[in-house]
This record gives sequence, structure tokens and C-alpha cells, in this order.
Amino acid sequence: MTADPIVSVLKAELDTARALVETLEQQRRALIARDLERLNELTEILEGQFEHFNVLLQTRAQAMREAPDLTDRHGELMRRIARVEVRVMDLAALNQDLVADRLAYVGAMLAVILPDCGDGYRPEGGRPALTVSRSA
Amino acid sequence: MSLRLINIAKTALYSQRAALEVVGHNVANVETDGYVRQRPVMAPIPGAVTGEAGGGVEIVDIELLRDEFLATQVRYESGCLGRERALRASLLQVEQIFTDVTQGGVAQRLEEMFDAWADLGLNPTSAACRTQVVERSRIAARTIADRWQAMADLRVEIDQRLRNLVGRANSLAHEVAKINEKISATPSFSTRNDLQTRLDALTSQLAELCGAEVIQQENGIVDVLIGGRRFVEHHRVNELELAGDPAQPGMHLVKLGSEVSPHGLRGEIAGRLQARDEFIPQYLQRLDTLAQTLADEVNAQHAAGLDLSGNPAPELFEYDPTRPAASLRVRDEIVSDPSLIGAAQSTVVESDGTNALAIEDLRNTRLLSGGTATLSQYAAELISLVGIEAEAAQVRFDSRDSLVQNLQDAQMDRSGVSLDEEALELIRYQQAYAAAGRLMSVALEIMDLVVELG
Repeated sequence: MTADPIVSVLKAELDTARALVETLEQQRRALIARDLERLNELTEILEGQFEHFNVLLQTRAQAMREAPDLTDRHGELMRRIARVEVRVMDLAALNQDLVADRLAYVGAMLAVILPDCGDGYRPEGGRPALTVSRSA
Repeated sequence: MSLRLINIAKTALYSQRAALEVVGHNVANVETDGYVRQRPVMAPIPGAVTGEAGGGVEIVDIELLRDEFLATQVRYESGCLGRERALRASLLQVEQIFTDVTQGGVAQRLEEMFDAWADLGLNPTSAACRTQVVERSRIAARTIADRWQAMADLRVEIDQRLRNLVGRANSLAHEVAKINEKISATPSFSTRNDLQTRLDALTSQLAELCGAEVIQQENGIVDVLIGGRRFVEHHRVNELELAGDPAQPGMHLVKLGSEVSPHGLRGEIAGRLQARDEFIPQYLQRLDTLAQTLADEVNAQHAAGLDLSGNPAPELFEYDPTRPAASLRVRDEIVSDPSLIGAAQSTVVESDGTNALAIEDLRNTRLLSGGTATLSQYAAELISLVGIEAEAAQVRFDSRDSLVQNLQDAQMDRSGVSLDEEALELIRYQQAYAAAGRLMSVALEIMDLVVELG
């Protein structure tokens, strides 16, 4: 039997999604613990993982356009991927909420402590945003 | 998002809101004396099921950022500082009594008196000179008596002040006891911390007032001790009391329970007691010695003379032997009749001023300090001694003040609210969160593709 080349892509997507779950869990813990060093490390790791994950997703999207029966052929693997990816989404959303909450917290405090420059202050030296092409 | 994750997020939001309140509280109290910075202590909530991820975060404590070892040192040194401050203040008052320029110094008055005797020796029949001797002697006696009385008054004033100080210490102790009671009944971290901060301020005041020491109990309350004896025990106060001092009628001793002047008593109360019972009495004693020697020596010489009528002269000075300086005065009969002054030693009283000159010779006779000091020198030594001791008290106070200041600075570094520090810390967080937030936004955009792919 000839191995379907898309299977290795799907397995790589599953592995990357699982790695993302693990890293996002660690990020959640770092946010809760307000462990800045760890948070910065994880932000860097996540940036690479999401870039890789994005490439795999684009590859799958291309494959699905070319072979619409992909889901039927690899249903079990696709369902496993979907379950892990829901977990990734939930954790990403949760972490986003935590980040927003902490930003609101430090923003409010900075406004109290530095009332003269509260509105004008913008964080400097932040990491550049990850660029994602939606057109691929 | 699953229900469990929503709950996790909720716990985080609640915790952060509480943390926000703590930081806001710190910032609001940046100018509050003695305020101790607080920090929330967060801990993960364990998962309900073994092996499951955690259940979020909760605030398990709001800790006071203080160093108990430093606080103990500050309290101890504050007690010493309080004593030195009180001692310095009292000695400065004594120094003012002796350097009252409007009245002139004792030594100067004695010199003026001896000058009058010298004039009389040269003009033994001069009524003006006789009156001058009487007046100068009266002024010298009154100056000594006034100084003595001023210091005696100062002792009374200190004694009265002790009543206020003891009252204030008891009042602070009752406040400590009340707060102890409130802390026992308060489950809230934040309220408890504020009460403990208030306790810190009160115990600092007590340390400076009476050298109180503090024992922290496990539940956040404190016991206050003076020399190992309980002053405040939980919510009970063993009040400081004033008891009449049998050795010094009119004066009072400080008692804690059955112990008089408890060992370990420091602070302002100890300083005032030390000034009243150690320093001032020795000055009073010296004035008494001066007055008694002056009176006895002048009287002895005066009695060897003859008055203007050729009769043996009476004593010039009189005093109560139990309080010579306070009671020193020129005898009334001589004040009303200066011709009774014994200026002559021979019956040729019209031209003999030898006894007056003999009395004037006492000016240079070393009668005091074991035959090393004249009357004027002894008076000057006393003034000098007061000055030296006041200066020494000032030096000790400055040194102790500097030490306490350094300790308080160290304490402030640990416990005080620094807006710069708070702001820098927040900016660090802001940068890290903003970077993480941007990444999460992009990640969620990526995940949109997952949804599209079905």
C-alpha cells in the first residue's frame, strides 16, 4: 500500500497542535504566576510553533481544495486533530483573556501612579507581531 | 470555551481585581507614615480530578513586605533615642537656667559681692559701701536660691510630664489591645494587614515612649513587653502606674505591676526619670554645697569682725541646713541695719576695714572641690558641667538619631511604597503582556482557518 503523503502532513499538524496545547498551558500558568521571564520565553516558543502550525494548516487547506474527499479518507485522524485544535483555541482565548485582564490591571495602575503620562504611554520594545497571510 | 475554562478565567479575573485593589491601596498610602507595602500572594487552585489541569488561581494571602528583624532593631533603637531626646531636652532646660543672661551667672554675682567687700574694706564707715555689701550679698544669695528653685521646679515639671507620658503610654497600650482584638476577629487579609500596620505604628510610638518591645504572635496579634514584663497581653493591658516615691516626697515612680521602674524601661519616660533623679539632683547638691560653704565661710569670718558700734558682728547669712541653697539669705537684722556689718577687726572701727578685706580674701581661697576651687570657680565649674553634659546628651542623641534614621531607611527600602518601583514593575509587566497579547491575537486569527477547514 502506498502511503498517502497528506497523512504525514496531518500527523505533523496533530503533533504541532499537541505541542501548542502544552505550551499554551505553560503560558497560562506563567500568566497566572506573573512569571515574566517564563512568559517571554513562552511567547518566543509559541511564535515559532504558530508559524509552523500556520504553514501546516495552509498545506492542509491546499490539499483539501485539491482532494475534497480528504476528510472521508482520513476521518479518524481528522477528528483527533479537530479535538486537539479546539483545545488550542480554548486555551488561546483563555490566555488572551488573561493577558487582557493583566493589561487592564497594569494600565489602571499606571494611570494612578503616572497620571501625567497614563494616556500617552505605550509599551516600547515589545515583540514584533507575527505576520500571517490569509491569502495562501 | 468549556465551562471549566470559564471558571478558571473567572478565578483569574477575581484574583486580579483583588490584586489591583492591593496595589491601589499601596499607592494611596504612599505618603502614610509607617505604612507597610502589601503584596498579594496567589496560588493555583488544584484540579478537582487527579491529573487534571489546575482550577485557576486564587489569592491565598496579602503579605506585608516588612522585615521583622529590622522592625525589632528600629523599636529598640527608638527606645534609646526617646530616652536621649528627653534627656537632652531636660539638660538643655537646665543649661538655660544657668545661662540666663537677664539674671547673670552665679559666679558673676559672687565676684560682685566680693568687689563690694573690697570697697567696704577701703571705706569701712561708708554707708553706701555697707548698703552695697548687703545688696550684693542678697543678690548673690538670691541668684543661688533662684537657680536652685528653678531646677527644683523643673523636677516638678518633669514629674507632671511623667503623668502625661504614662497616661499616653497606657492609652496607646489600650489601642494596641483593641486592635489585637479586632485582628483576632478579622478574617479579611487586607483589613488584618491594615490593622497590623496600625499596630506597627502604635508599638513604634510605645517604643519611643517607654522602650516597649514586641512579641509577634502567630495569629498576627502582638504582645507588648517592658523589660520582659507584659504591658499588653492579647487584649488585656497591665497599665503603667505612678506611685509616690517615699524617698522624694512629691515625686513619683513608674510601676508596671509590682515592679518599680521596671528594668528595660527606656524611651522618653526613662530619659525624664534619669534627668529628674540623676542629673538634676547632682546639680542641686552642688548648689547646696556652694551655698553652705559660702554662708559658713563668710559667716565665720564675719563673726570675727566688729560692727560700726564696736560690737561683735552677727552672722551675715542664714540658711536651712536641710536645703541650704534654696533658703540662703542675708539676715534681716543686717538688711535693716547695715551698720551691723563687721568690717573691722580692731576697735578702731572708723578706719579699720581689715575684716571686710579678709572676707574679700575668701574670693581667692580654694574652699571647694577638695581645696582646688574657689567659690566662683566652683560655680563656673557647675555651669561648665551642665554645658558639657547637655552637649554630651546632644552628641548621643545625634548619634542615635542617625542610627535610627539608617535603620528606618533600610526598613523603608523593604516596606515603603516606591511609586517609581511600582511603575517600573508595571511597565515591565505591560511590555510582556502586550507582546503575549499580540501573539495571541495572531494565533486566534490562525485558528479561524481551523474553523473554516471544519
